Amino acid sequence: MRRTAAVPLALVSTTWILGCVAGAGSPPGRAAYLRVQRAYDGAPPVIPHAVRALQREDCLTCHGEGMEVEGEGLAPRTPHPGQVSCPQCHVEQVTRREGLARNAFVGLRYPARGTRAYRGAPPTIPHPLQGRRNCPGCHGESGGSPIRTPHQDRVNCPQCHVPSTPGTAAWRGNSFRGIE
Amino acid sequence: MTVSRRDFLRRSAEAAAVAVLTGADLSCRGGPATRGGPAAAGLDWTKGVCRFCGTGCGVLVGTKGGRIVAVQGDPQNPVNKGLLCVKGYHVALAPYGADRLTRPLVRKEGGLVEASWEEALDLIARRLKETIEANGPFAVALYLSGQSTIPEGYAALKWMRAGIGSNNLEANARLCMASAVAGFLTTFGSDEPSGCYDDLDEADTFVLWGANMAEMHPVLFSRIVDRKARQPFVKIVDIAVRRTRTTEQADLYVEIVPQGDLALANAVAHCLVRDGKIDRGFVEEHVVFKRGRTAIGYGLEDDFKFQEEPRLISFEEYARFLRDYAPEKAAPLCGVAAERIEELARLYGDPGTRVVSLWTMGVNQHTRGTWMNNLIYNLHLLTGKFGKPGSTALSLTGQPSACGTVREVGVAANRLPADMVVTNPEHVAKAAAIWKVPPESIPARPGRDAVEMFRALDRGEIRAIWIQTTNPMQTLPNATRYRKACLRDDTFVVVSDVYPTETTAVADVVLPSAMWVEKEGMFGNTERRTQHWVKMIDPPGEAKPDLWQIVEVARRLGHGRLFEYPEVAAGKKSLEQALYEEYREFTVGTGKDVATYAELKASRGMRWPVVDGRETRRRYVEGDDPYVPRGAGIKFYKNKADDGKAVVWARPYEPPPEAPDGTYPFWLCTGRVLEHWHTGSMTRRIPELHRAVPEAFVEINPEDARELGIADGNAVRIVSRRGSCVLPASIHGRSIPRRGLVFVPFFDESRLINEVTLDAYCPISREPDYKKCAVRLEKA
Repeated sequence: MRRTAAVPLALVSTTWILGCVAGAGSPPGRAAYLRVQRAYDGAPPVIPHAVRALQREDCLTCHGEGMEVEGEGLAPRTPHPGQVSCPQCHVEQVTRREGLARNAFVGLRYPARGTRAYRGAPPTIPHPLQGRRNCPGCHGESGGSPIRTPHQDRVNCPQCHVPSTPGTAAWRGNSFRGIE
Repeated sequence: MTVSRRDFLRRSAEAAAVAVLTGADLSCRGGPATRGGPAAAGLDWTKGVCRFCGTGCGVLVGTKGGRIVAVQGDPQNPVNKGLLCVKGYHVALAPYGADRLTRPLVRKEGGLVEASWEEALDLIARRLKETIEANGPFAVALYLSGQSTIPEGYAALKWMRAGIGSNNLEANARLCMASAVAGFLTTFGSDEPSGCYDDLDEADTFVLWGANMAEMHPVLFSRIVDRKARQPFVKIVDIAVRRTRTTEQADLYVEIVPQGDLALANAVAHCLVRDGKIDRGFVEEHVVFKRGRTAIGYGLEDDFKFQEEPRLISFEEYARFLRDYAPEKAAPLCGVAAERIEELARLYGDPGTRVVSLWTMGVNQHTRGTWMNNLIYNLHLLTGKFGKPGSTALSLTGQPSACGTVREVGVAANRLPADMVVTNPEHVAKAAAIWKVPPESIPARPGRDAVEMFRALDRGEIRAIWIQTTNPMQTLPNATRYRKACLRDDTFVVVSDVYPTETTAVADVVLPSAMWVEKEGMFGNTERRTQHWVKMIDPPGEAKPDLWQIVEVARRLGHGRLFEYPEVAAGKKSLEQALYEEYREFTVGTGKDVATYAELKASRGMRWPVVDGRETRRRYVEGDDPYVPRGAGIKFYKNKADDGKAVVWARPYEPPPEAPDGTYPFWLCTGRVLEHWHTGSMTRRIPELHRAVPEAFVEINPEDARELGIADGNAVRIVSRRGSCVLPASIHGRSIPRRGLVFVPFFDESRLINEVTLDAYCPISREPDYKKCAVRLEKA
């Protein structure tokens, strides 16, 4: 059963979340978009707009391939198109009021960039890959990440980019010094 | 529009000639609170279990500097394979609400004031002692939770039975899983399911009896939908009283009238028998037929008593009983058209179709909840769709350790570990031997079940009650009566919790507890999987684990020896380990053998019975379950009374205790939403969850709303014979109830819908029915 028409019609402009950072009224930049929407790195982002749609296909109308929605900004492409129940993890925020929810949790953040062994070496991936197997979802054209790949024609990202746990030293150390 | 990944990449490449490297912080949510959160270096990831529902998802908890900073779904855990739901992803925030209880509180001159642990514990010990001396040990009650850990539940059981000498020990699982337990005991002679989550990956048809899995068991529902996506022949049948997110994914939506499930299940059985869709070989070898008492009442009167009188019947008598449920006769009772009933029967009856039935509160919170459990098992036993991969009846649990702590350990008015009961002298002798106490120190008279326990508090028979990890003043049906009882001067109420709740508000002493990974613990989930986690962070302030609290009070009452273990004193074991290992002694050799402590630490949990290091996927099935003799195929070996056979019960339709009438023309059904756990004491303190669903609402069918002139968001007063509650209307919201029925979630402490609900219960399981009572709606 489909209760609503296509999603863009069901969207109601809610700039308040974005307004926290980007300033209400101005179209949010990608960085602002990312910063405001999750409890910690790895947490599913909350939905910064009103939702009446119930079916996954409705979410994918905009988030399947990712698109610019007029007046709303970027609808990022899902990095895990294989997951089947969007609202299981992504929830709308219908109020700004805090109620009982004053909470002192401080969430994990990952570095903005991965490390490189030398100038020109492929950067490592500084964040967990869980739920993020589809790299172009974030790093492709309609991805939410400010880091976008300069070579989108290459399809096998992990051939060159590997995850790296920040702060972990190489096994038995390594004295290589790369060009900077 | 479909665009392959490769095409997309190619097109994107043309557009994005320039890499954008702003160096922006890719981290967490905005707002001043989280700026400058810790970076990932030096982070520890430790395996744990989600704090919320009975699915038992594995989580990896990221800690740094003594604080939780992130969680991940545990990719190595077979329960969830790395996926969580929105509650699970935000469980990391649950301990950090600003108003965490960090110091003991004692009521003085009407108000709760801070006190030392010494003062609070001494006061509890003194009041318990006085109560026992004046009114006997049964005047003391302990009320735990399906969210208590296994060592906590076991310590409470041991202390109450062998220390205090009272069987007034219960848990909130009575309110959610008692009918499942009674169903298992009456059908199979032993609690907990044969099947497991593996069956979800192999079934052809899923029949959901009153379970909104998309919101209440989302990770398992994703597993089902995922199977359907890969195998288009897979069907999902949603039997319900409202259209929900689950219905969105269903192939067949069967809308019933409340209580009509009894008639529907019998009608399906009728069709199976009529059409010869019975697996004769399975039935002859593994099944007996029985009838029990009828017109069994609703438990509305205080001190209600019920005694079952089962008698064996023949298959022919059972078939005659079913004649009353021919589809055209059953249709008016269940509200389902005869052809729909036939359609459902064809799904169960097709020998080539593997069927998994699933249910939770729609079936369990039911004045005939035990019967409904029996009736669902009937369909699987008659068709032999049992104990085969993808064919089983899987009762879903609500709470994370309703199975592990309450049901397996026996935190209930009459139970001991591993299916034993206080009324059986042999069982008591075994417990006494393990506990090294005289058997006569364990009382043989069962205590009172949850609802009767609070009624007894109101009547003055129970004078002192200690409540841990649960919030009954928000969750008991007809709650007003029990709040008044707690507030009286002659009752003494101790509450251990982590946040202020409706229940701490009526307490005489409030003890600040450690929660989740602030202590070591084990939970047991729906599929018999016991999982362990280590303590990862310290509790805030002076908060202490519930286990420590019990031991401290027990010591003060002279029961300290119950918790003395040389290895613990020597620092070689935690008390949790010692208690778990002692509890395990009860289970070894019974078919309910839990894993060893070392096995739990090393694994992502193991499903009992665990024998020689091997877990059991499917109970009662040869090759899987080591207790099934060679060549037996399937053996219900726990049901010795019926010669190792399971029971098909003839259970009739009987009307509910209260139904809509001219004065109260609507049904009221209550429940949860995805974002909130139970009474919201944790989830309402998590910003992402609170902001998603900030308040309770009443879902009304759009046609009904139109007739009443109620628009979306209007304030509506719901009035029953017991109380009233004002809520905003939700019309065309997330779910749409059938006509004549309204739905209200119970998480919101500012809108206590349980002041409206009815405290009728299933006479066999004594679980209340939160899904059916009569109300009227008024514009407020």
